[in-house]
Amino acid sequence: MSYLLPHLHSGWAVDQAIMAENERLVMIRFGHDWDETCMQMDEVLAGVADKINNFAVTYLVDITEVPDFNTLYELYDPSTVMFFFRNKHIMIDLGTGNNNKINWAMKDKHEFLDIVETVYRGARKGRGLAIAPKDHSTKYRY
Amino acid sequence: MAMYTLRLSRSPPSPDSLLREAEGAGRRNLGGDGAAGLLHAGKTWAKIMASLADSFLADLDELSDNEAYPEEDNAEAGGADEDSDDDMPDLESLNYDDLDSVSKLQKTQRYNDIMQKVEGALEKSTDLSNQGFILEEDPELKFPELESLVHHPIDYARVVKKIGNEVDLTLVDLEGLLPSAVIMVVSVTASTTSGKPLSEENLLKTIEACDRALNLDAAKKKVLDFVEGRMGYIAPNLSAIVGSAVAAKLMGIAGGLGALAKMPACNVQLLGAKRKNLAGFSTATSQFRVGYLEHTEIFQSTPPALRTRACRLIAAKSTLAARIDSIRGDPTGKAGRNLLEEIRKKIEKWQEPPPPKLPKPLPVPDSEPKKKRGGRRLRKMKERYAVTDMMKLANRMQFGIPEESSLGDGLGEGYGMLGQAGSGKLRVSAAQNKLAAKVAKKFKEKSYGSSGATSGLTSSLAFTPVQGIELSNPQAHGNHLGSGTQSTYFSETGTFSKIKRT
Repeated sequence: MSYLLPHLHSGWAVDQAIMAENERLVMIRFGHDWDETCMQMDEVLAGVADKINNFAVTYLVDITEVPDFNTLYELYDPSTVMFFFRNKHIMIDLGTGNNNKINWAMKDKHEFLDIVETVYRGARKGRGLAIAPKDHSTKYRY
Repeated sequence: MAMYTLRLSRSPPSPDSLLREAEGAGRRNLGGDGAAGLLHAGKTWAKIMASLADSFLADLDELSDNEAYPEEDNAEAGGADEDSDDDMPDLESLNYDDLDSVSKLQKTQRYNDIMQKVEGALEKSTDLSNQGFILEEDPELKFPELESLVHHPIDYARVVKKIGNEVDLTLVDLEGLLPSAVIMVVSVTASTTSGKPLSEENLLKTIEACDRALNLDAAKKKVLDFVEGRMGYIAPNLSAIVGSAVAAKLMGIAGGLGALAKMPACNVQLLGAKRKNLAGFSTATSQFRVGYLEHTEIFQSTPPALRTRACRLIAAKSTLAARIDSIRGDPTGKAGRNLLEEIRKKIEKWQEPPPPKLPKPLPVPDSEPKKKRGGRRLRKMKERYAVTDMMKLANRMQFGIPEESSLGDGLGEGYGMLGQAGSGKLRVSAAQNKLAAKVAKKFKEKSYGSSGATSGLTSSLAFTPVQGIELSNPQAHGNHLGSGTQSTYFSETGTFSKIKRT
């Protein structure tokens, strides 16, 4: 799964990847290929990558290989997915409290696809914050 | 006196005096009960059949030696040209001998003549040997029902021979002659038959007639075998596709290569198809309409699901091949082999699995704008949820003036600007749409212009909010201007005043 997706091996490469795309959303997963959470997330990413090819592109970044963004984006979780559009970071209101990233492993491909589409629509309109279709907060679970 | 009478279904092509006489005798005497007349008819029939059958068999025995007589054939062929009305069997034997020499005489002029004669012979042999010997019912027969139970004439003849003069059919063993289901039906019918046993003489005559029929059938089989052997010369292309046995059968039943070539392909498909099942047996297992083509190798090798399509395809291509052969277009048979290859390739192509589905990526969101519909229907739909003037007024408030509410004192729904003194409107009426006005106008015209044929339930009383009950004149026209107080500028039902109603 992680072998199906392209990796970025330096900070410069990450910058270039984000700046290169003008029409498509850029999704970057920060983590390690051997981590369990990352593997699950990669599975979902790889499954969705072909379908969203027209409006989104996916990259994987190993945070030990590229530690440049660890403090900037506060990459303390095992797996972090962030969205960029036209060199701008797009936030998502998932109900978890952290709007900058998805920092857990999403299991459902369709759900993830919906989120990507919502982010894309919002970003296209110039909105910096997209509201996720489903609430992922855990306040009703405990 | 009852007897079986063998009669030829079709009159033979050549006017044979003997045959005519027999027919006439038979006809003359059938009406009456003259046993002598019947016997005479039977005798003449037997004679004819004897002559034909014997000569036929003799000639075929000659043929089995398979020797070529080139010089004799040339002379005899010349002689045969003149007497076309000659004894049929001799003509046939001639032609078959000619065929032996065909391979040596291929380049001669007579090749065409010979082939024509072969086809003629085939036609005649078809007529002769394929004649449905339908046993006619005399008024008193031993077993009248048998004719309707066993359709095939040769089987019928065999069964008749086996039964003989037996009354009790359980003593007769019909195994192998008929399918067991039919045997059962026959024995059941025999137990309740209305016929009586035959006399000795009649019985002998009957058995003899049956024998002759069976002999003729055997002779026909021999002819077909011979033709099959010669298929490579007669019709190379056709036999390349369907095989020589089936090709011979097709030619036999069609009545020659020319006749086969003239048939449309749909008929060729059905040549030799078995008739419907007898005695009301189930047709659930009966095959779709295929004839002799069912026995071709290519048909047998196609999977059952594709057999209908394959049979149509084979019939079409074999018709083409037959047409090529009839004009002698390709004596090597190459066209036939090409057609066979085509058929094979097509059948293989049908069996290919469908191409796998390619996964398509999703389209970019909002790249294809939604197709908005317009039109009257949509407008009417929107009207149902539109914000009316009343709602608009109720939503607004005047500055500094507390609004009235439904429950008074600020409770309940607020009325806003609705019904307030300074609002500039005397009364808010439910706005009438343009379309509703038109519909109302039409309705008025209809009900008042119906010249007295209104339904008994209509009333000219109208309840209005201001004046209470009001009576409207049913005779008044819709565009009546009325009194001067009524405004006609903005009347919803009014029309131009100067235009006269026609």
